[in-house]
Amino acid sequence: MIKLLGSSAFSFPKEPARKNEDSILLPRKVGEGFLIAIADGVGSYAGASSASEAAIDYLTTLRSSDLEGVISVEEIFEQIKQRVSDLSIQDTSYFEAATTLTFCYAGKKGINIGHVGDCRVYFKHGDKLRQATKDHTQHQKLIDEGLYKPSELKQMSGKNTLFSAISKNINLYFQDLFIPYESISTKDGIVNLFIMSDGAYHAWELRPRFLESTLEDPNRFAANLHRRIIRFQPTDDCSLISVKFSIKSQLDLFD
Amino acid sequence: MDGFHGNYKYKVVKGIGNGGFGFVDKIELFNIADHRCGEYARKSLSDMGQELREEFRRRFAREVAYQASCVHSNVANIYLCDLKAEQPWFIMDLAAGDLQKDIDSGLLTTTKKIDIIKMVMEGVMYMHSIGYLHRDIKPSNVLRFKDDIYKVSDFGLVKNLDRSSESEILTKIATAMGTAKYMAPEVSIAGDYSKRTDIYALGILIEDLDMPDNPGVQEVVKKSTARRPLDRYSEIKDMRDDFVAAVREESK
Repeated sequence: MIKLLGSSAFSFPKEPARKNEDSILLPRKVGEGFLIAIADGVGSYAGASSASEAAIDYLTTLRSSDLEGVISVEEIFEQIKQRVSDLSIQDTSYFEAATTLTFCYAGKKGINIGHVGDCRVYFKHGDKLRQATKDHTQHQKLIDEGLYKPSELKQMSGKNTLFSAISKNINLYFQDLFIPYESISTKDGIVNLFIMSDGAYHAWELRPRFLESTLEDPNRFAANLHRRIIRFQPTDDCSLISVKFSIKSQLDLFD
Repeated sequence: MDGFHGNYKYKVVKGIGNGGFGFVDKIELFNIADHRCGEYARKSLSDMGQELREEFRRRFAREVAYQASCVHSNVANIYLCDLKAEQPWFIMDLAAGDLQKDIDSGLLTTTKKIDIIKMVMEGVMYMHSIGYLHRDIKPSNVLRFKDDIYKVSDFGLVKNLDRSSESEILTKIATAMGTAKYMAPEVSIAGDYSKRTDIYALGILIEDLDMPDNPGVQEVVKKSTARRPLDRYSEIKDMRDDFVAAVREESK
């Protein structure tokens, strides 16, 4: 039995006058679990915000059976890719429209993650956050392949260049992860889960520490991170969803 | 006459090549007073579906603008263009052949190969000096003209480094373009282009020329095709200097 104990979120553009190209899905009860997601429209191409909205809209149509395995993560991404491709039928200038998408479904036994692009999923682990997804950026790929060391790339461009996104013209490349609750919950059966777009984790990674009491409270975490982003000025559109679940029934807690 | 443009007119002689998105005709060019200027090559953009048309017209215009801005004896020149035509085109010198065909013929002497490599390096070095990456260096994109002058051609994938740095703040998606054999690992893996990826392609091109055993040349090829980009030459000038030193004896 999964109980949502708390959640907090924000999603705002880099500058107030600009359009926010991120779209978010707040915790949505689907069957016995909860679905959350962030899609970050790829800014260099027309139709970025429509693409991220199309991704989130599709997720809202999913039923519990779909998320429990009737539809694979690949099929979910394929369906969204079709919707993003169809945007160019309404507006031909959208033929390169692209979005990233990272979603988490907290089901009966663990968290299912589908991930394309450079949003990140983190879990609280002790007094730290541990990143579960890999960024599909040029830099990360070059490091993974041993072509550069992280220090060699610091001064080089390409941080904002993705090698994977959901777009008509790009072959689908995604991460499909399942993380069992045993590996991420506290002994009290508490799970703290975060999805951040690159604008938000840019600020988090400047100094990836908050008090543990802040990490375990979604509202405090969101308020503190929001304050930090504003203080350092946003580098991009910024989105966060922070949730806290209990995965044990109240009776179990007395065992 | 098959067409007019400004003070010139032309007659299409025959088709001489076909690519994915364009085709090349041999033409005869005349000025308005009917003076025959000579034979030239005309590259035109193929007709394509509505959805792709605007994008490819834009790319074609960019190719023309980049190539026309290069003025170097080892880069193919553009003389005339019409980017507003139904099928945009540009006119350049008519090549007598290309390096791939010359390699296939097996008739290139070692001295000639050395000259060719130097000419290609000069052409690409010039492009780098004005902030361009070629991104598709291979023997079939090196054309042979009168007096055995070889020139770098085909600007379809050229990238302007200055402009890309301006737009860096926006997230974009990298894709690998070009020809697999000449692609540096960081291109095929992550679509990451730099001067070093052109240097990698030049190293493979030298390999294609099958130079006689020369430890110096082998070292140049090895260094320019190193897997890690930072282990390669950072500038073509350094590569050229090493190459020239390695072949000094053979060119005598």
